[in-house]
Amino acid sequence: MPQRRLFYLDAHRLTAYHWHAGKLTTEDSFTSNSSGIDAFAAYLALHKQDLFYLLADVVEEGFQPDVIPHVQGRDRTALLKRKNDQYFHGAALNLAIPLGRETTGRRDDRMLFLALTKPQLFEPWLAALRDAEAQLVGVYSLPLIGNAFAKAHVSKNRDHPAQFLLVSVTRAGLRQTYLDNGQLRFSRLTPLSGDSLDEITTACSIESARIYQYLIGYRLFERGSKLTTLVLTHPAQTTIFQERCRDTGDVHFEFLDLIAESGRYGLKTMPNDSHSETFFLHLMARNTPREQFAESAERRLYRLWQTRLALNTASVVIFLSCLIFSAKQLIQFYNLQEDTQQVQQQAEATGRQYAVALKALPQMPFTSNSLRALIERYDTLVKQTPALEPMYQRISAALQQAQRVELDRIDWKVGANPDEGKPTGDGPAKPVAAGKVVQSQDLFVVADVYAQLPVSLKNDERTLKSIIDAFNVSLSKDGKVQVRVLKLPFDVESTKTLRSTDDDAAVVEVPRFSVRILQKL
Amino acid sequence: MTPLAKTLQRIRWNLLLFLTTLVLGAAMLYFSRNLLTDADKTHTQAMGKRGEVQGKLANARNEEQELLEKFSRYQGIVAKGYIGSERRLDWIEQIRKIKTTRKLLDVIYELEPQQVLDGGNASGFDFMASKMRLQMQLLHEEDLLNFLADLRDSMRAYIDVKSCNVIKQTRTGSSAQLAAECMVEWITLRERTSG
Repeated sequence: MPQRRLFYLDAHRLTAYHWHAGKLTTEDSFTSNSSGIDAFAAYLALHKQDLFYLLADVVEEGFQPDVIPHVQGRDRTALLKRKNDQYFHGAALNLAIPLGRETTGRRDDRMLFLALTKPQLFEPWLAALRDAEAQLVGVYSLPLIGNAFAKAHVSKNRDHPAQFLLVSVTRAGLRQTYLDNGQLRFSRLTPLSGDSLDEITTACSIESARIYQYLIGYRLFERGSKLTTLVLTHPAQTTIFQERCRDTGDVHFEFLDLIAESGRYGLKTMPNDSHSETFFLHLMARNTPREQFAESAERRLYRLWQTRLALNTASVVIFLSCLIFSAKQLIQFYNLQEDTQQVQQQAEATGRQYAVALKALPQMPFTSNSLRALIERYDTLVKQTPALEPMYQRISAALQQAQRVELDRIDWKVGANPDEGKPTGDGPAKPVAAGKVVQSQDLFVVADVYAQLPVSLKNDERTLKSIIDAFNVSLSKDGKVQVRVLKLPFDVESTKTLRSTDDDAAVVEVPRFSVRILQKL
Repeated sequence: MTPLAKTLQRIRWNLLLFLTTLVLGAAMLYFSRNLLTDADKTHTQAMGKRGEVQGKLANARNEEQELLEKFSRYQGIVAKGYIGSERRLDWIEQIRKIKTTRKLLDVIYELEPQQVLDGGNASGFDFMASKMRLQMQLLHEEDLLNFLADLRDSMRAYIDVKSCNVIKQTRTGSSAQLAAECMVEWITLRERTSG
């Protein structure tokens, strides 16, 4: 993984630090001349793979609040660029911070335009970074980092005034950053001629009163209100600050423990005095703000590094996800295989038990299913093969009852349809076609009985009718058969022609009749 | 070189790594998924087979009784000689013997070629039938019934009487009182050979 290297740039020199997990180590310091730049290039060459952050703490930083129409996309980018060019012409290191929207009218966007207004101060360093193809994360200014810190401080202390001044001491001088409702509004660096505590505390007191007037003048702060001034001090020096920076009618001082704040944010290399640049450097590396000054071209290699990191991370995540999912499936596979083996063993054991049970059965030349089918078919055949005797016995018994009926003929058959082969005259009924498969419930035993009655009764139709009826009743007295008259010796149906008979005819025709007996199988 | 080409060149190894892991990951997933699917199929089959065998075993006792009873009936069919080729010569002799024994007047018959009675079934046997047209002169209807009963008892074929017409004789000069004309099927079982 690349290391993080932080640069602190003031008006005179650039100091390089190595940052790792809160530990900040000073590596080198480079002056703003050609030898310094060369040394810086050599330093960069040694750390080509690392990530670089530049924190500027210079006087030449402009702040310009403005209101712009609420537009999006390319229009917004163009508008912001135009505005920055308008306010800070020629300053390539610029940015715009949104401060929210107006509550009335078009609800325009309130913006704060910032720029590092002396490009020549940065250009040699940026050129060296470009030449070294260094991965520049961004260019930040101390007010930007201080803004992030102040926001966090206000959110933690709800009763803190909305407008306040954050005062910090750095190698570059006394930094005063004015914040309104947690938003950066203005910042000012006062270079100090010396670095004594006496000079710093005096400047703190004087400059606080001076900036109060400035804020009033620009209507950034309401006249008559007390400006809370939060001074970041080393605890060993707080007393001295308190003595020098006394409350006035306009300014109220509060002192913030630099060591405590450094510890809270995880800085492991504590400042020795009230100089807080290492604290802000640490904040920059730890909570890198989204806003920064460098143009996108300067950060191209850093974005490439981000892309590579994203690709590598995605590769690892995808590979691990697939690996885990595959492993899960493989575990399922092995469990399933184990279970399958158990099931197969159980099936084999049960199969052996079944085989033992089957051995108890007689040895057959074919399978049990074939045997079942054979017997079933044979049973059907037997069921469809009625004997003649029962029907003959039925007819014989009926003839015993009807003494005057004399039998001529019996046509017995097994038929699928009782009406099949129904005789139109004296012809016999046809049997079921050989080879035809029929359901036994559709089969009938059909017996057509043809008989005659005494000639003496020829002209006594009523008697003839009663004898035939009695014969039919005898045939079907057990209710197991149906009897239907096929032909009577005379025609009395309404649908047929009824003719008279000649009593004195020479040839006397014997009265004949026929009936059909049906028995379902 | 265009900026895009430059960018791609700088991240080519990372892209290659990404694509490789993507392919590798997909291959791993595909392989493990296939393994699991196959194992699942095998498991389902094994479960099905176990269930089937368990079901068979559970029914084994009932099946044993049923098969014993059916096999006994099969042996009965074998004993009656229904299974095998027709023995027409035996049949002719047997009919002649019955005619003599029963002192029947006249027995005329015509046995048609054998045919398959019905389509195949799961038994592995074909039911074959030979139709016989039988004409007899009878003194009494019992001559017919006895003749048919003797056929059933003595023939090595299943006798299926399909129809029988009995007519009172009015001709003079003949002792026969009745004439019978019957259609009888002689059914035998032929074991079906594979192929």
